[in-house]
Amino acid sequence: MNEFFPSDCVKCALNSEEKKKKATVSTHHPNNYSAALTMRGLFWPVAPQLLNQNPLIIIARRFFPEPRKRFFKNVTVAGTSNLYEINLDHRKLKTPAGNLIQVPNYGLALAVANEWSAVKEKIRPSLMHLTGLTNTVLDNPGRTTKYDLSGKIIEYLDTDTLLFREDATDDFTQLQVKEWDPVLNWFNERFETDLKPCHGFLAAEVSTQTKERIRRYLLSYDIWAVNGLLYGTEALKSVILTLAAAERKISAIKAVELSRLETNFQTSRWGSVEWGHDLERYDAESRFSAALLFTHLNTWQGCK
Amino acid sequence: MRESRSFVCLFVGVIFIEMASTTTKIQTLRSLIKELRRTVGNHDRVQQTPIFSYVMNEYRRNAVTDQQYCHQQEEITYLAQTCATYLTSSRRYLELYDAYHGCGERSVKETASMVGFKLPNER
Repeated sequence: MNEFFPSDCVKCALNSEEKKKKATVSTHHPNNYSAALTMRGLFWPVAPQLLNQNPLIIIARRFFPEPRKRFFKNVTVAGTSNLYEINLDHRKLKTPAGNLIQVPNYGLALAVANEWSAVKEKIRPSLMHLTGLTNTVLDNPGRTTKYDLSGKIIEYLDTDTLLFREDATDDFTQLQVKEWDPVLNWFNERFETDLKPCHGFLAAEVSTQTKERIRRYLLSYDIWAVNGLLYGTEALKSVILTLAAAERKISAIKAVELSRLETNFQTSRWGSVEWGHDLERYDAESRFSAALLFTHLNTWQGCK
Repeated sequence: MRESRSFVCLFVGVIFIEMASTTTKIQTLRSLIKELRRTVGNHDRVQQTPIFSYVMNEYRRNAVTDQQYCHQQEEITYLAQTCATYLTSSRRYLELYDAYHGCGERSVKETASMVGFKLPNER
């Protein structure tokens, strides 16, 4: 980074938050520091013409602004038997679009409230998966229907993890057969499909009949649960594992382990790197278990 | 002081592929409560949170034990297990992230010491 664009200057970033796109000169940088004219999120390299003109400049907003600190003391859930709201102190929790968060069941409301009350110092919305899922369903920014979403899930069936088998290594092939085949057989039996694993470079053949069967199954869930299933499928890149977990045949941890079979096999031989492999694993586990929790809380007819 | 619970812990064999592996239902409940305890602040008690009473009510309502197999019980156990997984994995992710990525750019000396090396000029 050149001297004219101090990208890691906290003061500049804080100032930019307050002054909100009004042109200011950075007063605490000595000697003709100037920053490029930027728009939020974009960065235009400082061009010689700009320098010569000595423009009024806007301090760039960093790409990673400082996370908000915890500003509330208590998180409570209030509501009637059909709609539950979450309150941070006296404020009601809202979606990014400004809609009030009203969830139809108590368990989910408690889980979302728990995500917020578990915040120690900094609020990191990217790690609050249940809140994110609730926001997506209530805002529906992509104007998607249940049909669009189930179509998106079906697309993952062509390249499902469980259908791609290794040819070369004997150990790994046997491991795949041992771990993946029971789940695949259960899936074929439960949904009356004929998915077979493929080898080499050819993709798996998934008949339209199979796709229709799965689509009908997915459409039997409501919009909330289908969002959860899509999130889970995207976390594991496998429809078979997600549906097996949705039917409670395998646990969340087992599903993530099965989707990371090759990674685990390689790291067991060559060693695992904590800040890479473990981080990925916990990320996949937290996304998938959040998706599963979301789906089950929305389909479970327990105490509301 | 823990609440007394009248569950009987008998280990019943694994149902279908890998249901709850080898953990019993009471162990699932205990791990969930342990995770919930971590999310609660320093001055609160987990027994007073609404999420705790919700979980305990659900378990009691369906009399979740290992002695019998019942559809409702399996649903609740599975939910408890998934919730415990979610809380554990997100906590561990945060711990690892803060440990490795949380403090910006490290100096050469710090990075070397992370992998056990010393710089050439040090003794």
